Amino acid sequence: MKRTLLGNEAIAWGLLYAKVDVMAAYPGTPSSEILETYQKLVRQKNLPAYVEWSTNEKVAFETAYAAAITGKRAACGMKMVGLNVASDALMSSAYIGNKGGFLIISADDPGFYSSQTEQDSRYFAKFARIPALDPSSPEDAFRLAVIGVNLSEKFEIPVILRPVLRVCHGRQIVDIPDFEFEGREGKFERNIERWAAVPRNPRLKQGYELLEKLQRIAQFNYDEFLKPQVEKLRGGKLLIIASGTSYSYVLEVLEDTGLKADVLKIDMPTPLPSEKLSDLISSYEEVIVFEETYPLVEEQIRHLGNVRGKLTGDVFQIDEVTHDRVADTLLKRGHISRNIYVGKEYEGEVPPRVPALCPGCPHRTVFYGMKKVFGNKAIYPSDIGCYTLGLNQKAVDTVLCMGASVGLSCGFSKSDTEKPIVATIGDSTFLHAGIPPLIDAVANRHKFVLVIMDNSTVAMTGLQPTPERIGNVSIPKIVEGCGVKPLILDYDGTIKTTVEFFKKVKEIYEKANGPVVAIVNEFCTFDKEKVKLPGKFAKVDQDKCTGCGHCINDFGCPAFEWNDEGKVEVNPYFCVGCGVCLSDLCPFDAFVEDVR
Amino acid sequence: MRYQIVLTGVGGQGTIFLVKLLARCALNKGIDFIGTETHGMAQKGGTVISYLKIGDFKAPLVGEGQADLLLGLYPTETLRFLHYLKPEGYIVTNIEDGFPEINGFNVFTVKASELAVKGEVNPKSLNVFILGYALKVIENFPFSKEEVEKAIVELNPRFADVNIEALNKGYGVVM
Repeated sequence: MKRTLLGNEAIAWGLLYAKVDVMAAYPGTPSSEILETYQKLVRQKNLPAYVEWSTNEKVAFETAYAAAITGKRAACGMKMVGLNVASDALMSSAYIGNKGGFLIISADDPGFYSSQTEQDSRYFAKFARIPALDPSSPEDAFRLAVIGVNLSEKFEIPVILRPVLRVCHGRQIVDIPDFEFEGREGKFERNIERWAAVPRNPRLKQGYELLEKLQRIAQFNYDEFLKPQVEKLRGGKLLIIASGTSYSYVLEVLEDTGLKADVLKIDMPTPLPSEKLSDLISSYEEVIVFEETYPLVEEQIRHLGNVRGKLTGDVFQIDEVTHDRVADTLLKRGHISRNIYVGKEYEGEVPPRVPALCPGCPHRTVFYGMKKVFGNKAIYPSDIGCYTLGLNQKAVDTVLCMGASVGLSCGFSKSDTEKPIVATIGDSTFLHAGIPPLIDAVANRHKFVLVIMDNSTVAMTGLQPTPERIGNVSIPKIVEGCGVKPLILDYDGTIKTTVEFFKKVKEIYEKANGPVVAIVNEFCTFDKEKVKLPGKFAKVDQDKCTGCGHCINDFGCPAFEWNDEGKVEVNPYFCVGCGVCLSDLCPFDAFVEDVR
Repeated sequence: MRYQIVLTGVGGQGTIFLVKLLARCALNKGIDFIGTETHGMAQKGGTVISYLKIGDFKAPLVGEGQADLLLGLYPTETLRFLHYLKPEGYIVTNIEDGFPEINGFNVFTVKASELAVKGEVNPKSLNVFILGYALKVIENFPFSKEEVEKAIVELNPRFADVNIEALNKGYGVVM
């Protein structure tokens, strides 16, 4: 049946089509909708399958991998930085292998749209010596998800499916053939030599087996993916080799410009049977390689002919592929006479629009209160989540990776002993990677304040449930178990209470000789179960507003706007009626209620 | 049929719903569709841009200078992405007080936010309202109002009445 599917939805359909009956994931843009869709379909159709949001990507990997050890078909999902977290398990699992098919879906984000790195998960596959599949569109992602599961089972090796943002959040009409779903009974069979292989000899043996497997998979790559295409190539001056979404752009640019060239699509960029492509590549005057994001394919074939790409400076090296960038390379190499992908920019000025915390978000009030009490001198390490946007209030000084607010605070506390340190972290990030550094802080007496902004949901990626919500896991008890009795604030939507709370935190911090933990119980304004907005809308008394800018600079609700008179107005279209600005924000009490 | 749309706005205005809606229209009509949309971090009150390609296309993004229509839910974001539009392409956009004069394109504007604040248009259906207006003013749009209405009902029956009302209000805007 034909459906309009997001790439992530197409991948979830692919998993079910391939009879994957265990899936685990940790949310992260652009990957989150894969598990959401898988879970929705499993529930809707009442399928015999197990699905979970795990505490972090390593746990998701291990949960799914165990299922594959027992012979079930399994998948885990994450964004590429999540694969960094799961990489310890990944590297070792490559040697050990699996019985049931095991697909690792690692979604890349070329262009840094919602990630702190660009990376290229295909390199992780090469590093771990396992195959990677690189889909070019949502439709292709469905196809390669199915192939990936089967390939993994055939060769008893984990396989990485690497969709990029434009595949994950691409939308396309995809034809899903009818299928019957059946699960498998998992059966762990003791095989100590395999599942508990230790250094040196058992692991060395697995290492040799892995090398031999890779040879066979490279042959499979040639037979299944490359040979059928190679046989149809017409020959000529130019061959374009494209992996992933680049393939789609190349096809459109060729069509739009009328340029005739052979195109070879790479489905499996590693292991690539390079030597088998030797005659082909050397038969063209020029070969151009397009791929995201690093030159993985190019590196493997550049010695075989006149190969142009990122390494020769002919193809973009960072950021995502576009028509313009493909055309630019073809123009510079003399294959087309002009780049048609040029539009007319607006000549006037468009005010920049930076991402900001949503109107009514409790994080904003907490940052405001925290900053007011601890001042400009303090160091504010923060973490990965919506609250990273506290940087607009200058209440976030560092962003490194999941859990690093706590780890960096440990180091800052010993390296800059002059300044107070006030770290912020969300509940999901704390549970994901914040606990080990907190234990370190207690054990080694690192003195800082850790503010856990707890809205008991993974808000940034679309409100996925957290261990608190689904399993009654208690963050205060965890903190206490680490050795710190936390201070707790139930957010009440007022600046006054929030400031008073942080004054108390500061008093305790001044006397402390280790970490102080403050937990603020908040809500996400999109969380229908917990949101509390009083419906007190705001407007600005223009006679009282002096245009001092305090509200915009230090609080920064997106509904606040400068008007032509240099004063502030509340844009009624954005105001959600949280009422926070109505008291204790404006030094001149200019915010008044806008009764609607 | 080949038609390319760039749809812009700010987070929370429901651009993704419009993408789903027009994709559904394409499915119903047996026409191919590919596109891509903004989710996640980029969404938080920030710029949102979606690309919709109706017909025989392969790549999700619209090339610069290639779009037939720039559909804008928020005025500044319309101006920000002008470069996607082809010469003589259509701009259909929500505006606030004023909107600069832009030459070389077919420009249609409507003060939709104002109508939403006044309660004349449901703020949650502002997206569909603008689409309704676009259906009225654009020649050779790939889908008819009836086809869009059918897709609205299929996509979200619970809010279909509100959305169809907004669509018709947009369609009925006096120019």
